Amino acid sequence: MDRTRRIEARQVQARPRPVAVRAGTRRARSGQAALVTLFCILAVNLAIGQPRPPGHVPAAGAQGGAAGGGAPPPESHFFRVQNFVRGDFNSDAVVDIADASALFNHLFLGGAGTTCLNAADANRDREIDLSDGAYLLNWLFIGGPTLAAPGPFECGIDPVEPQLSCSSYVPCSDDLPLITHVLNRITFGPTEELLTRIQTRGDLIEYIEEQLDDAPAAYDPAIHEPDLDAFNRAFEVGFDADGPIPNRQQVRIKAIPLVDAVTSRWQLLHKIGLFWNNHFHTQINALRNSFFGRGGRGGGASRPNRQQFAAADVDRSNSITAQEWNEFREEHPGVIPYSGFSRQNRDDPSRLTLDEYLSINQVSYWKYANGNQQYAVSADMELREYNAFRRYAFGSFRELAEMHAKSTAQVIYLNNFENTVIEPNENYGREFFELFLLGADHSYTQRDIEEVAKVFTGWWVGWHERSVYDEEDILRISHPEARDYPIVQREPEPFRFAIPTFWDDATYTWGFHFGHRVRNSDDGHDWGRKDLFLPRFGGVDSLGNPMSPAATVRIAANQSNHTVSAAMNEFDRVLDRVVTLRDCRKFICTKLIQLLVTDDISDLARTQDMPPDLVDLFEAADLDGDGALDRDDWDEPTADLPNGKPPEIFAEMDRNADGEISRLEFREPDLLLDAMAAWSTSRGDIREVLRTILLSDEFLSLKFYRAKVKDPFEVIASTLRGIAATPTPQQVMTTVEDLRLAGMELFDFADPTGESEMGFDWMHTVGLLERLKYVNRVANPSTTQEARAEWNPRDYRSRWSLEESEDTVDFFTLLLLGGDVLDQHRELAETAYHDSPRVPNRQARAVVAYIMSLPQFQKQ
Amino acid sequence: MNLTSNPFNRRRFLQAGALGFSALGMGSMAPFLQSLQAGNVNAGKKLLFIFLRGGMDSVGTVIPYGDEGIAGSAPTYLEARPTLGVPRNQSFDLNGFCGLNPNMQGEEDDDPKLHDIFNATLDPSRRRKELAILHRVGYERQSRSHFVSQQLWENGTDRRVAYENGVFNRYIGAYLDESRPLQAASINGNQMVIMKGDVLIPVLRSVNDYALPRNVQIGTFPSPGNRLGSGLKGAYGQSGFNTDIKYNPLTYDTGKTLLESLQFFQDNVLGGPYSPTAEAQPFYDGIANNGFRQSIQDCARLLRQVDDIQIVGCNQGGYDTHGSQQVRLPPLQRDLALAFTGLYFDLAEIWNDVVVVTMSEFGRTTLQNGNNGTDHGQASACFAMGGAIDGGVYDADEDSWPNGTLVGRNGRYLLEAHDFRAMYHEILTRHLGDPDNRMDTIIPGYGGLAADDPRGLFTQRGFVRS
Repeated sequence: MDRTRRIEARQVQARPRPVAVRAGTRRARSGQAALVTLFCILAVNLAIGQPRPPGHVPAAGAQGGAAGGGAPPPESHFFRVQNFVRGDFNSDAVVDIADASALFNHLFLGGAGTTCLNAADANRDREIDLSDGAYLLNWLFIGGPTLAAPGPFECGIDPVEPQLSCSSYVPCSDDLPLITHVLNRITFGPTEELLTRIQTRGDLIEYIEEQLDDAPAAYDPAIHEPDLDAFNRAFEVGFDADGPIPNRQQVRIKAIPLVDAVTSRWQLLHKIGLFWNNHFHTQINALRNSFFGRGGRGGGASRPNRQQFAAADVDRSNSITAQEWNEFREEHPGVIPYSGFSRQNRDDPSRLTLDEYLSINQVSYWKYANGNQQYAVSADMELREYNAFRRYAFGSFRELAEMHAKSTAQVIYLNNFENTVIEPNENYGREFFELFLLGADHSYTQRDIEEVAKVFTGWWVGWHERSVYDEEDILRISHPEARDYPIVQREPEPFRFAIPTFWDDATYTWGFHFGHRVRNSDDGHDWGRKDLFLPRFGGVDSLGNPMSPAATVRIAANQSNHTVSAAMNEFDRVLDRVVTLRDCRKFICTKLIQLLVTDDISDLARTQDMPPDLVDLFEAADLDGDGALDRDDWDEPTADLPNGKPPEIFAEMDRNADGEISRLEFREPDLLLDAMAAWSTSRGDIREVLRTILLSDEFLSLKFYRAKVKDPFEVIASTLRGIAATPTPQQVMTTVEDLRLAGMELFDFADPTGESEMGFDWMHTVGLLERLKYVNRVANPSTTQEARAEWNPRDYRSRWSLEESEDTVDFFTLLLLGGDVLDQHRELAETAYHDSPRVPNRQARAVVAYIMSLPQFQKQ
Repeated sequence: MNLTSNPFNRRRFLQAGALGFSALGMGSMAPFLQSLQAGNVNAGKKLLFIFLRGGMDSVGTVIPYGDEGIAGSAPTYLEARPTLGVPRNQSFDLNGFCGLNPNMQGEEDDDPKLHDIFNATLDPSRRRKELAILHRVGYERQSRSHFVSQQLWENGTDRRVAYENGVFNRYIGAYLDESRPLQAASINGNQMVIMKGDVLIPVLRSVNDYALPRNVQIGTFPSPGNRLGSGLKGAYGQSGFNTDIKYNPLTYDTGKTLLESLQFFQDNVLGGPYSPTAEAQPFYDGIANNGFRQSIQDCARLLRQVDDIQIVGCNQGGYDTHGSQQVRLPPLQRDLALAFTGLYFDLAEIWNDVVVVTMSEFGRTTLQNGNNGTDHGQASACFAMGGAIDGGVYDADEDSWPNGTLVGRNGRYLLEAHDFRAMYHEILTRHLGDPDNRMDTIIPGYGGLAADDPRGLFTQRGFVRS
């Protein structure tokens, strides 16, 4: 049964033309009124004179047998409703007199019927009879009442139940491929509910707009999706000072986005939130290893010293008894128990001498003494950041970037916390440009990296009172009034982190802090002069143009006003400038297009016309004015670029490698330019950029249908969503491990690049093998231990009367692949059904597992 | 990132050939078996590579004590590493100039024995020195970005062009051999760029996990006698799909490669019990990192069990030691040296046919930073071992190493002396074989680079015996 559009098969059908009512039809109607009235009377007379049993087609339960010839198709295609145009009896895309004629011909003269009774039911009385023809003629020629929706100019579905059958109506292109295409990109996979709700292109656009505009501005699952939130609480991420510290935090933190992706109503919000989380990636293990697992910063182990000994030796006996130590320990709970000295106090076990005391390696623990605690506090930071990315997902890119820069996880991950005027660390500065804002070597140089790293000197993470630090909103700390919250000073050196308050995660929390006391500096900041994006330092944008003097940021040396606000102002000035650079909007818009449309932007359309600003850039670069940029233009020394422009950029732009950059190669793709324009007009509002991309003709077409490879996360989410399978919390934890085995690390990914969006990075043998294992473990596990979700096909079988292999395959290919598979794959899926033990559930499970193993399901 | 490259143009061509074979029923050969007619490479020769991710501290691993510095402008090693430095008397003297970091050698039974391998004193039956230490390997216009520099090492080029096309993939592509059932494989959770490209090379997380659940059928590819085929081979073996949809050919071909290689493993590798040799096992067992411990043994297993395999490889990660290097680097050095020691014993039977080599995207700054760490530097160091290797230290002795070389690049970085592509070239041509002289395409533009080479970066070092 093939009633869905077939794109996967190599023979692509011509796209059905859109329905149009001939423009002249209605204009002509008054002039033809007399003639038509005559026809109408004739027709009615004919009907009276030659009654034809059955006279009309029964509405309810119609099998369509009266319409058309050949075998009757099923009445409906499960949850999909056929679009049609009311009144178009002969299915020729036009509502005109020919339809009335064909109807009468069918009713009274045995002429051909129709495959779409809905379309034939012109007066929508749920019967096909003479009155439909009369109603149609009345509208066409006498100015009678308009036909009920849908139509007569657009395809649609009948909004009112009950429906007649409409097994096929060719003129209305089936929107299902487009719907599955869009849902695959803006959600984590189509569901039966969405495919039932979204029947037409109009429904689809409504859904896109709802996802964009109705998503809560400051999404908080506890408020907006309490059920989802309640489920995720099973994972207990974070450091809970009162309760037992949960283990496997690095697994738990990954479970949360997975559950969100599968269940949240706000799919696009989560998709984009996760995108930012990956774009501004931080790695939980790096937090643990370079901060909380090391002394000094995340709390520190102290070496023994005489001051401690003196403080504990209350009776001044030059020795410490167990009782003295226990009293000391009440004030300093971070210190080790007395038994910890058992190897030292050899002479007299009841007393510890100074020498024995000094011979132990450490007398206090690190604040987070073991791996579980370190992971817990690291996961807490990661979760906070994930939540913030979701809250800022559709907002201002400027704010998002600021939030990311001040996120404790990021300050630690890329070493800004150890970036000081004494020992500058360029790690974050480099990625600030290369990975986060501009793209590799675009608009900045090594010198700019060094300069911007100075701006970040003195940044730190501090131990803030929870009552003054809004841990839910990282950015609030950057508000002027919030900036100068004092952090808790570290305990004096002899007793580091051994005073009770310094162990109290309930009262204190980690947050962004400016000021890092180092040798010769109270705050660790480099208050010297900083100049960024100067022309003549060799920086060029992604089109090879030297930096404009307007891009320069000059931060004067600051001799006296060494305040938090002054340091933050330096960062504000840099960020304000960077987000207005053309390469910033180009870089971010490109990545969003790669996420949503195609990962190879060279496949996007480029028209010949260049926007005026690009024309200016091109003509400035085309020194000899011959209409193309050749090596002579490129290598020509200029004041800013004495060695000419970088050859790397030439190679990037000369895509056909013919030795010159044509105008077409110079200009970016249309969709990218449109998205960049939306960025400019909205001043970097992500929602408006997304709107431009998602409502573009290029996205809302089949040009990039299934043109992306699902990453393992998307495979898992679309599997669970597709068949509404529900994992238990424990199964989610196991699934996170499957995700890792399939090559996706999420918060564990080692590089600041984040994980790839390119299809070729996800399609390899080990990744495919793990996908195949996973879909089988959901749909058709061989043991209950292997199962990754609760799922039973019984519900589908009974609701949709799936009795035979053909129905079962038809239904699940429709649900999971929009019906678009090769005929051979349908046959193979039926074979899987027949090869299974003759238990209906097991047969259905085998079919679903097979369909989800097909190549098409690995793509989106 | 180069957003416009299209890595699949040439792969499609090869795959179209593969599909043609399937459709004609010419056996169930997987895409990775298909071949253009090529000359014969050296029979039975194998390569095992270990990519050390993160930038291995070459200076702190093969320590150039002989660089006496330049007063006022260039420090010695111990001056550059006031807290991280290893005193000369604690390290193993390699050649009177360099010392081997003590973490890589030791006298206890479970210590790694890299120094004994170097001296050929570990196995009485192998008396030739067959561990080469190639110092100062790198390239001139070096990127200090991990991502870029790893890409370049893996692409085999110093320019950011063909990003997704690895140098070993190109070698395998140039000498595809239909008679070899499994010509290359990598052990990793994702495909490595160096193995990625026109030919689909299987990547396995581990040998023992390379199998489908029991209730899933590999099946058979479609053939003239069986139009549909069966099982998953039926799903991925179909040819009527729309090749214009991006990644469709790659997806189907990956499926075919996967299923064919799963069948191969089921029939040839996973059938019986397997264990490393008894001498090797204790050294493997000492490797602290679970993932690396498993993947190095799997690499050895494939070399031992698959006669015709040419290239296998895996990663060892964690070398990006910006801070606390004294804590973070020693376990990595120890693991690597234990792996070498384990391999030395495990591969004894095929020793004369195998070369083991390490690569890393760059070395680290000669001067330690304020966090007891080192930052991204320039020249790296590589270890190469095997029956074909002429042991010794290369590019690190008094003749080849002027004082000040430690900071000879930009006053900060170890100056490179040997281009990484020359190292590849020597291994590929002398060991694996390049009968058709295809190095210019395998390592793009190699001939030109070697011809215009005033600094001798591309001069063959002779560390692979010809």
